[in-house]
Amino acid sequence: MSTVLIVDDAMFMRRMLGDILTKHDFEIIGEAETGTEAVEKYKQLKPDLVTMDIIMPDMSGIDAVKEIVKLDPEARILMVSAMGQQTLVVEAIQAGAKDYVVKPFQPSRVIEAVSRVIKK
Amino acid sequence: MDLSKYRELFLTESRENLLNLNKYLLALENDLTNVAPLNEIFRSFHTIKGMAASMGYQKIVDLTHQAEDLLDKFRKEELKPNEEVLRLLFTAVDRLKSLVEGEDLSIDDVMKNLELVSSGEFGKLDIKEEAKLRKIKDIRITLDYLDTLMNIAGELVINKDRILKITQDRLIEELTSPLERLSRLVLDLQEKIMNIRMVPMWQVFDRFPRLIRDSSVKLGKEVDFVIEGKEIELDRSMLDKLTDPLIHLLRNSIDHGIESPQQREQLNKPRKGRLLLQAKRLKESVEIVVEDDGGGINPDEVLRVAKKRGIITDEEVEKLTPKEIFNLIADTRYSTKREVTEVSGRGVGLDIVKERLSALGGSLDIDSTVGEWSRFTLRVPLTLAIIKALIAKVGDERYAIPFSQVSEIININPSSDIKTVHNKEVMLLRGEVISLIRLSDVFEIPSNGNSNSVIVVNVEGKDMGIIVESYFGQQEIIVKSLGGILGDLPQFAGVTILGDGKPALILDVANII
Repeated sequence: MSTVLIVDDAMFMRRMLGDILTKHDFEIIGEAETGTEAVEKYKQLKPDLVTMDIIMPDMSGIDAVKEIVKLDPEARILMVSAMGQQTLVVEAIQAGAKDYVVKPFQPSRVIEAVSRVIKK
Repeated sequence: MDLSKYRELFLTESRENLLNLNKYLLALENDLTNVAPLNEIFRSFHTIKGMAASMGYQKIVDLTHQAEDLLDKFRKEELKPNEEVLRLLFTAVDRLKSLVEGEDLSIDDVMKNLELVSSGEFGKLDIKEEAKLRKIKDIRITLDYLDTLMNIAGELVINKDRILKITQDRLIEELTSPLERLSRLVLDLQEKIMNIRMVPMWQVFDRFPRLIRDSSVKLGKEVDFVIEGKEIELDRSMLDKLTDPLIHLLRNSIDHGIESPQQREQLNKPRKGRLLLQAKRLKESVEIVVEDDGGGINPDEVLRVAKKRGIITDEEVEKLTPKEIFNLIADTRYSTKREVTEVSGRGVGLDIVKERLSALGGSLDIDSTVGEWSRFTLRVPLTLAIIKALIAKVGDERYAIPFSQVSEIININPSSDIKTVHNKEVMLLRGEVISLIRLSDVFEIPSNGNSNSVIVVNVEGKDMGIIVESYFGQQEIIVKSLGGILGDLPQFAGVTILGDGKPALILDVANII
């Protein structure tokens, strides 16, 4: 079973994403609400996959991607962005994120993207 | 995907973000050059947008998207906020709140205005430093669930006390030490659940600056609103029930207390009035003070009205302390159909505030110096669920008297200490005469004739004595509400179950006297 770290400042999003992933046999091993926390948790938990929100307090998702990739160049990070954040998504991919999904997400889209990233 | 189960989470998180929006919009309004709140405002709009999109609430998505767009331009220094834009954003937040709560209303005008502003021409901003952002770490539990937990813990206490009593009666020694451990554990559990129910005052206090702003703008008053002690914690349901009385008192201060800027200047006072909302933790209670530096209350005027309305007689006036005089204005008969303004209107008078507090086992105290200040002091127990009480015995009945209302207990010699004046029983307490009542008379229950103790209670700043046969020491009791016909009796604040499994009614002292 692949392990996932969910990063989002809204519990609503963490819960929804968590429910979708758990249903498809992923194990949620941690959640983080800020970029800083995401980096810390990544170090601790070494998840197979990270889902990363962009707009968060204290460190943005993009900066968190940069930090995590610095720690682990093989890190598999899936960006979860809102509509109209294309430029930010591009920036995140350049920083090392592997793929992205756009909120509001269809469960099937999420699972597709996650599976794709895991296989990479 | 079944979205209904996310509705609750959507609501709680959106409400939290709406509070945040008001808070940071106010910060921005206070200082338009401060860019720190912009990121917070942007993020809150953004978070609500993301959730609403997942829930399929299109109007909320549209509104937050447009607002976010504008905020982004402020953040990137493409545009600069001004007072008019702030007003528009406040309106947008108000609409958003209604939409979040499930109302359906038009947002076309706000959308159009937001679009107009977004395409406007503004100067460049002088950006200083990055915002330092607040981090909240918590999980959410519904209050119902906590109430259930509390009830179970309460039942545990009751059953533990029963076992304890049986063990003591039958002298079962082997049980003593495990029971002691059980007692500690149950107590610990109860305390932990209590702690979960405690929330900081800011959850309610943070709504007030916006309210104060709106009220003072409407009345043309200038108010410097100061909040102190908002980190103090109180039981969630208690805090909820205090919100309306507090709103009333705050509006009252702006409406009737603080003078207009012109008047204040003539009186050699600073143009801006000062309104203080302060919370303090006392031993078993929390004190909340609403104080303004406005016109104060004129005691002569209070006495005139009180006499006219038949609340007091000329003789009684002599005996009143200044505080007792001020407290007259919270009498139900005092505030008959006064002029109702839009601001403090709603027909909620001080008498209702006082009633509400007494229902919570608390008190309201009023003090003032005419021309200078008025102070309203609210005191409430930390929680509604468990209270410390004194168990008083009258005949075969036992009654619980909340400790928050008891000021002292005196053992007396009935034949020499109780005196009769005008057919009423009184006694001397440190040189002061206090009137006495007998619970056996109030509830018409047969008494065994003993009257060995007087429980002194403080009601509206006045000491009164309750004569009881005997009392048991302080005890923590679980408050259960009275249902059915008993629920309407103002003399009782609820009922509790004592260690022997028998119930005892909890007195609401203010309504007995």
